[in-house]
Amino acid sequence: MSHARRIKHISISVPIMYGNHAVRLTDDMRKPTTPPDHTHEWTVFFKPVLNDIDLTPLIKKVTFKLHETYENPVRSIEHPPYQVTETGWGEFEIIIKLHFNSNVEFGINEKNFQIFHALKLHPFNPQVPVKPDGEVNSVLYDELVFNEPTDRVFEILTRKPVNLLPYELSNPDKRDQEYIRLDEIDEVNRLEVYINKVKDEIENQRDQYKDLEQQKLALLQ
Amino acid sequence: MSSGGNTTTVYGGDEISAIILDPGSYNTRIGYAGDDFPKVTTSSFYGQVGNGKRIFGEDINVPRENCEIKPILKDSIITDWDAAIDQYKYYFEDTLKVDYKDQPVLITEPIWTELPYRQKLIETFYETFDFAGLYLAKAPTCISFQQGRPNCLVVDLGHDTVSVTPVIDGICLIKNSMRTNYGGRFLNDEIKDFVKSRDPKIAVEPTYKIKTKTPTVYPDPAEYTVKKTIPTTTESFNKFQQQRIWHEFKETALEVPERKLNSTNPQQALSIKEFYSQDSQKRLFEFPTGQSITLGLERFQFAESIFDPKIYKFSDENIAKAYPPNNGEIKISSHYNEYRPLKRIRKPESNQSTPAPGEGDDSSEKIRGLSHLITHTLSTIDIDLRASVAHNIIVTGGVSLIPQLIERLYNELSNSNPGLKIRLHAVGNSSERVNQAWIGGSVLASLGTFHQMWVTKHEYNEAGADRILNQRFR
Amino acid sequence: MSANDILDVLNISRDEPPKKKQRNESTPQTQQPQLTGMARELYNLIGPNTPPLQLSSNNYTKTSIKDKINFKPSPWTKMEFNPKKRAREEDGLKLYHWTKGSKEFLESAEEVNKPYFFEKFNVNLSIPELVDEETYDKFMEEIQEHERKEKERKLLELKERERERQEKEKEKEKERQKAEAKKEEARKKQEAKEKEDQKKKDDKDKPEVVDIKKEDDKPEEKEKSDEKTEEDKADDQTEAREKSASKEQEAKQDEPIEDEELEWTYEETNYLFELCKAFELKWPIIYDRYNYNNVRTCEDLKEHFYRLCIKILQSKRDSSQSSLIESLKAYSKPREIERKQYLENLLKRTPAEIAEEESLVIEARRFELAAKKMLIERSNLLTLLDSPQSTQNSSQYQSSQGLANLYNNLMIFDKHQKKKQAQQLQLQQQKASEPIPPPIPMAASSSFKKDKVFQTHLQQYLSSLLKQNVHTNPAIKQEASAIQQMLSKRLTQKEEEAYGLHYHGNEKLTPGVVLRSTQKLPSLNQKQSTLKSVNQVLQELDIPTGGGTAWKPVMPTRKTMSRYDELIRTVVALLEVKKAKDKLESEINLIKSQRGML
Repeated sequence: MSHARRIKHISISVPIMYGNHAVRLTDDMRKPTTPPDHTHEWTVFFKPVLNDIDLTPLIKKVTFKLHETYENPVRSIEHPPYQVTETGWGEFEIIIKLHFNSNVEFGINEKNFQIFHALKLHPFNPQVPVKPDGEVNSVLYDELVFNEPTDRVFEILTRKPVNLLPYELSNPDKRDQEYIRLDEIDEVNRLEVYINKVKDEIENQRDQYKDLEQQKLALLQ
Repeated sequence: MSSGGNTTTVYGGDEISAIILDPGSYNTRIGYAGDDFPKVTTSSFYGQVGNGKRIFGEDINVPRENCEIKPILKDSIITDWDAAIDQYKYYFEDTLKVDYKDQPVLITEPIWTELPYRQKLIETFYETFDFAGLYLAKAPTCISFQQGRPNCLVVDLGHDTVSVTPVIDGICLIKNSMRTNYGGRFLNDEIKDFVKSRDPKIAVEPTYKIKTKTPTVYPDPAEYTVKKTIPTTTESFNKFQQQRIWHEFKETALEVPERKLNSTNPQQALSIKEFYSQDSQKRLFEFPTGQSITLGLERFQFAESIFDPKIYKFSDENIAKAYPPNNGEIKISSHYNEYRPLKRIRKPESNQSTPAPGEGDDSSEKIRGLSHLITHTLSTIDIDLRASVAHNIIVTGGVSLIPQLIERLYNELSNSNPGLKIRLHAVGNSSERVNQAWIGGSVLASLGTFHQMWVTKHEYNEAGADRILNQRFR
Repeated sequence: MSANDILDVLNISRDEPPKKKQRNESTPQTQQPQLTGMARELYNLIGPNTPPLQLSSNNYTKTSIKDKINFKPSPWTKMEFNPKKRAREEDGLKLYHWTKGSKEFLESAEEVNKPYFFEKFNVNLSIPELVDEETYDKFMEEIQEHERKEKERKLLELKERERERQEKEKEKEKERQKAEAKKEEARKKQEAKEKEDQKKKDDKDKPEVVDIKKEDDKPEEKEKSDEKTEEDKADDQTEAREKSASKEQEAKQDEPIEDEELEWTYEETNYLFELCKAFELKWPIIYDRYNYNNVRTCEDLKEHFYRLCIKILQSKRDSSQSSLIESLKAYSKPREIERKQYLENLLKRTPAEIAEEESLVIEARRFELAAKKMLIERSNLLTLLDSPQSTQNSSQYQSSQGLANLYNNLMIFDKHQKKKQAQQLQLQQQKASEPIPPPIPMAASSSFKKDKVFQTHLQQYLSSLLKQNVHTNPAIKQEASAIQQMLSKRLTQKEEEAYGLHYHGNEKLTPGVVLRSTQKLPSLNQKQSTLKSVNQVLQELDIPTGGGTAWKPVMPTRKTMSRYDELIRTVVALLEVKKAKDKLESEINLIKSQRGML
């Protein structure tokens, strides 16, 4: 039951990124505690795309649930940057849970949704050239959509424009870990192309259909 | 008075029991105005016995010695005046007991009557019969009154003639009317010719001769015995009785095919002919001798000749001569006295192909079937009236009772007149359809507003026949 | 039909006695409560309440003997009547019919003198009477004069046109000749010159000849009498002009065909008027019964009748007929003939032509609609761009202080405007040579934001929210809510997007937070089978599906999601069309196989 007033018909969306970053363990990176069979060091993270957006008032904590073989598999991070760094040898699924501040003013009753992320240690993307240090990035883009935000939420989120995505990569190397606005435009265009393709096909089919109808009429007469 | 008559408020009627006389080539109808059927329907033939006496009605079918059967009318026009007068007298006085002074008479006439005939007609009725009041009505006008349609096209398929007459506001348009003689009698002759040519051995004995009979089917020979006690009858009597057989044949066996039998596409023509030669389309006709013949395609061909008179070729030359090619145009000699020679719009030799005003192809036709006749008439009517006339086409006459005729006519007319909305009206009741002109006359003569139209004998004496015909009986 | 209805139709009043008897009969029955036998059983079945309907004996089904004895028929007499107005003794025809009423009553003086009931239907059309012969001749002269003048006028017009045409032709010829001359000058100068001279002489001759001929014709026309028909005139003219140009000949030959008209004698006109009166101006019948030695078409008859009526009515000088005269004058014979011809052609159209015409009409209508739509859209856009929208609540201006504020604001605004205009003028003066660019629509101008109150839908919605929330009492101090701050920034559409705000109109939004990738696309509300086929199609087209049914674009933003949605929708549509096509194909195959076997 939220006493806060909701602004209807409005949604605010915040772009976020999550995923993992992994490097092969070099000898100098190993610590004494590191088990010898660990081959990689990896970091799983969750952050808004723009680095200067602060979601702390809304997010209480972010929990990363790792494989049960890890000690304390549930890692809980309460302030940004929301990330966990670990070493290991295997790829498994990490459950990223967002715990929203249950402040009544926010009116967020969400039962803290989960994002499933498959940890990637080995190169999986054929398009990305293999890096010398075995660096592997698996970063996914998403958006947090706040439907019918309360006044408070609205206020927090409109202090700064949050939906801005950069237009350029900060570093050309970071192609596989960053998302820029151009990507979105590309995607939209691609989808347009596909849509047009399908529409053409529809036209085609429709013409064929008409021909067939004619045939049928001719036969029936 | 306005509330007096029980019929007045309903349809403006004011009955005065006038007499309606409707002479036709096959039957004559006489009765009272206001009735829906004529009291007297008698044959337009009479029997003349040796002592000069004439016999009318059903009695003419009784075999007598020395009795000649003769017709009274031809093309709905009285040809045998003495016999006609005799017949009417017989019916007026003996049967209906008419009081000439009190009861005026309305006579129907066809539209192709000429002045001398009309003169003779009214003279006869005024002088011989001493009727106090008289009116001459054109038959299509009566029919339009019977149907209650002021603008219509009357298609009358009668015994001697088939006529097409446009009627505007109840008045017939004479110049645009057409008629041919491919009517009931034509069909009778076709049947007669066909039976003879098929097999001259088929016994065509009239009923009165038969004593006993056993049913057989042609080609088996007929098995019957002849009565011995009958008097010797004249040739004309025999012929007349035979005509009755053809008449029955015509009424029972004929059927109009749905599509043209003689279509121009040979493939189609073949398939149509095959269709109508099937067993399902065959009928049996039984002669009075008990012999029956099966008829397949022929019965359609006879009926088809209404639409396409060329289709049947007469094998008997004499009969063929009786029906020269007729393209339907009526020659108009003036109804009125002229002091200058007529510049004829149509030539008097209307039996040859005369270019008619308006039409392109039809003008070169020598023979017009029914649908061509109607189409041609429609095309000569003033364009403003054409639509309303085409929407009110009345089909009447005995020949129109042939099954499927109306449907076929409708299809043909719709195809040849795509722009017009054709609507055919035909009375369902068969006896009404035959008597339609008489009923129309009855309606006319019982209307309150009609009574000022009667021409009295007094007026006739004063003005003379000509003026009456010119001015009153337009 | 009840008894009363029938009696009303026949206008007979019901006799009194049977009613009273009924009443008497009914009352004793109700006084007997004790019933025996069947009646008792019956009433037990019915119940305590007697039915409201009382069965009374109908006169027409059950007439008792007493009724029959007392019945007096209404008297009817066979009365003579006279359908026409004239006196009875003249002719011998006496018509009788039955009328209601006793003999004495009907023969009373008043009844006898009542006119015949159907007399009133005897209406006659009133037609102007034909005048006597002298005036007729005079009228005819006038008419013919008038027509002749018309024709002369037309002739003159034609001649003028002909002359113009000829002159143009001559000019053309001269030019041609000059061109030829130039060519031939190069080869044979002398011959060319001679040719030119010859041609010029010929041209001069032609107009002379024509002029002479025309001058000759005019005196000829004046000499001719009224009696001579215009056929002869035309003949003379054609004879005189054998040498003239072919065009002229054609033009003149057209005239005799038009002008040919046999004269109307007085007798014939009288005959026509008689017919008109007898047949009450029903032209088809008049035309049909018209039997005279001359061939007249229906239009001829009408024209002659109408123009004579015009003259007759004019001579009577009856002002009430002026409208009638006007309408009579409107009749034009050539137009009538043309109209009838046109209607005939209309009737003779083949069905193909009719279909063609209809399709053209439909197309024309479509174009019209499209044009209308365009206009509407254009006007909408323009209004959208131009119109000022008031969104801020007016309550803040309702106090006197508020009004002062408003006034100040307006003045400042006005000054801004004037400054700008002055600047623009200066600019224009500086750049006098440059063409002035067309005025930029307000929305595009950079200073737009400062001056205008333009808002996106979102802002409109927000401001409306604000209005709702604002208390009417200005005393309460209101916090600057986030919304107001938002509004104060006055964002454009793009900037709104940057904030991630989106106005959803009437969509249903579940409150709360969702991850966009987890949002189910509305187009995915399909049957499993269709989803599978969609999946197949997408794979065929190499569209990333994210595996299984988790369709989402690589980068799920609002735009991409909506595009993706559209894509899936179109794929579903494609599948449907394919399905229908396949169905048809199978049907055709079925028919073919059936026919094949036949």
